Amino acid sequence: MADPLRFAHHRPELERSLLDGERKLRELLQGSEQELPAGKTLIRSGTDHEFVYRLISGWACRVRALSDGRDQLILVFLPGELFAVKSMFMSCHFDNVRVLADSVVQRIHQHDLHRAFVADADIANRCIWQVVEEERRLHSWVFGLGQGSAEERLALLLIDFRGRLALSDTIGRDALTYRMPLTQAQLADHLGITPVHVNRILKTFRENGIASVRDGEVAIMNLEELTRRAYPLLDAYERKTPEYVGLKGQSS
Amino acid sequence: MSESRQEDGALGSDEIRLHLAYAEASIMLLECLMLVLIERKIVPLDVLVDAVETAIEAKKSQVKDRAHPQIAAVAAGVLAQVGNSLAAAGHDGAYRAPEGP
Repeated sequence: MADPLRFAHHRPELERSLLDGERKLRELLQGSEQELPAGKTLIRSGTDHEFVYRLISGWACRVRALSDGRDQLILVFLPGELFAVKSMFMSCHFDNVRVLADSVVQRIHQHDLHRAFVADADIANRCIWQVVEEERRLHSWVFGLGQGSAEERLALLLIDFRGRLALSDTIGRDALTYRMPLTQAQLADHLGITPVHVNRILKTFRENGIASVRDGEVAIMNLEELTRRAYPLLDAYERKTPEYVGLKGQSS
Repeated sequence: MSESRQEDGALGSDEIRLHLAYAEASIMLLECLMLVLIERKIVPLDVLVDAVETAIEAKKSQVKDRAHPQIAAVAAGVLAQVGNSLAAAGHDGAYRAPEGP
């Protein structure tokens, strides 16, 4: 998990510090493991929350819900990632954090992490990196929601999950299948389209031999074509990283 | 009369479930048909999105008029999702209405 490749386009002079920060955080969090069931709301919007988490296994998400039934999955958290880092700085979380699949997390009280953050630049760099990385992904996602077609968004999502799972060593670096616990309704809430539309695009992908999503399992049959469809929405880092687009995709 | 209907004429849970199922099936079928119309380039995308937006406006005015405001608000939300979703079908060369003169 301490692979420098995980730190997209980091400044080379920060690499040592980021890797050391990763190691030190692991030591800080060791022994705090908790099992969380799928469906649990870990953090409620509008509340103060005292903990920062690292996802060890499983999936979680940040989600905002409206009273008229509209939900938006804002971010999906995958193994190895820190989340709720804002607990250190803000007295209120504005969105829910929900567990999508049975998960194991580690957690640390924000006071303890803040003490370490102030005392150790490596830990501070690693925490800030998580925010920077989330911002990179959110920028891509905002671009996708504003400018991308439904098909481009879904292709991007399948590639994004693959890349992040590979870089966290949850799956092999060249794996073309992975477990994905999101239902079609949850995919729709992340993609900003309806479940009917998700279903229709998945059918097209399946019929064209590009990818299939069935029973919580993603199988990418033609990564090159999936990359071609996602390409307008991929950022410069993703376009050049084989864990996202494969070796052929880099030259698309 | 359905077995599930109450003595006072109110709908019972079985009947409500049936109505909800019809409502859900209807909106899904409608959306699917609209996607087919767009994909086959039969109706311009912007015309369909405009139709959904008209429906949203109608629902929102029902909220203002206090006509089933709670249901109307959720219905407007459902329609907004359908409208946004349809709009996302349109980046791949979907048929759009010709520009005006």
